Amino acid sequence: MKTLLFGNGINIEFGGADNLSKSIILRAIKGAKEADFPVDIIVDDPSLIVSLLGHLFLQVREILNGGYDSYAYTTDLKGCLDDFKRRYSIRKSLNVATIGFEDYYLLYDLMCYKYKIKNPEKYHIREALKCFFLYSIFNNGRVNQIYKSYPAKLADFFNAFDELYTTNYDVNVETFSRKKVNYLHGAFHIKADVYDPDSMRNKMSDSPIKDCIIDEKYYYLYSNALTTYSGYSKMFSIKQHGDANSAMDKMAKAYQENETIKEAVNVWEKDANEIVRKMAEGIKLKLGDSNLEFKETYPIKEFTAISDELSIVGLSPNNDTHIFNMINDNGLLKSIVYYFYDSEEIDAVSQLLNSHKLDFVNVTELWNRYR
Amino acid sequence: MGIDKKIEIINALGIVIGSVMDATEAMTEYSSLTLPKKKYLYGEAHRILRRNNKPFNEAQPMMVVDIGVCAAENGVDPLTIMLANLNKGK
Repeated sequence: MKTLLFGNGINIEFGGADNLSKSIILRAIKGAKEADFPVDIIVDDPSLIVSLLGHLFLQVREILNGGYDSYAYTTDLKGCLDDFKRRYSIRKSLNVATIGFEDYYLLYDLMCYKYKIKNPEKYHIREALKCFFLYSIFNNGRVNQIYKSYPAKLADFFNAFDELYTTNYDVNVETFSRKKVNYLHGAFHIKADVYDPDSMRNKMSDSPIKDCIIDEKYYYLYSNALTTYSGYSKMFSIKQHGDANSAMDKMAKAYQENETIKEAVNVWEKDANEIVRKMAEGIKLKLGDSNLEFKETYPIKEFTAISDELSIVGLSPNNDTHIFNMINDNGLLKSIVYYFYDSEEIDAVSQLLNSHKLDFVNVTELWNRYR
Repeated sequence: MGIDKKIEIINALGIVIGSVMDATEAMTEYSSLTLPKKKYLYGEAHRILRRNNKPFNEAQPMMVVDIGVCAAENGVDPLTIMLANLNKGK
């Protein structure tokens, strides 16, 4: 079996600088000032989100000086903070556009801890920030037109693989190659569970879609696209529904077979804690319809089972360590080819994939072969 | 104005706009610009500051973004743009 895993590098190669993080941020800021900015979906007053970006950037100096070290409460957050400091402290000059857009979520989390901003406000503001960036990445649909710049010969490259996986949200390779693509971080055309009227989440009494009018013109803002700074939190989101389904199955079975658990769940329905009440409601729903489950929209199980040959193109080792960890733990792989853009990636990838023998090829050679 | 005082002011401006560049490096970057570029950046900075003529708490984050965009588009540090304003493009 031959598998290809590709990332944003392919969009930068054929779509140009529009797809760089710097352009995404500059376009996001400009987009927020345009008359057609979807204020009804993202934020009523777009200047608020621009102001938030300014506030986040203002924390960078303090972060680099260690002023946020005591707010990184978890091992994962500490690791991400150290990585942020390592990457940016060597830069002599920084501005709002030189901070990677996913790193803004790290700045946001740290600021929330410092200023004690909690849910639901923390969640809603984060969602607005996410939509602000997704709106820019989508670029009025231009991101889905990049395949028009692919050389015809590139079809031979995609055809050489049995399975295609990507961390991108666009459909360029799927449109161009007419092969199924698996979207590890979600895709613009796949709805997030909270916006799917048939999802288990929306069968519950506090259905999030009840108070939401979906504007299909901006379908991509309701998508399951994952954007965050940490591989750990991406992995948490990816596995969340599978884990929830497994728990619901076990609880529903126990409810039917174990009288003590049945009584406990019945008591939970009136518990003061909302999460406990929701758990009981979920179990009762599952008992009423055993087919009901949280939709697993990230093809993680399939990806952990890939075997034989893997080629990795246009995927940076930064921010996506969870994917590299999965590959490293995969004993079914016999050979891995990593196409690098910058020779500095070789060391980082060698460390991340130290269980495998790797072949490194300059990606420019690959693209030249298919021009 | 003495050089020490000037460095102090530039460093303070750096804190206000979140620049990580040292004052002396910003002065070097500013000196390397052509006169038309200095004048252009002064005009941009002047426009940004006028546009954000609001209470400081409200103005600062917006100014940080506007100056940051200008810096990114012109390949200079945000502090160099503030320096262009301080020197009135000279």
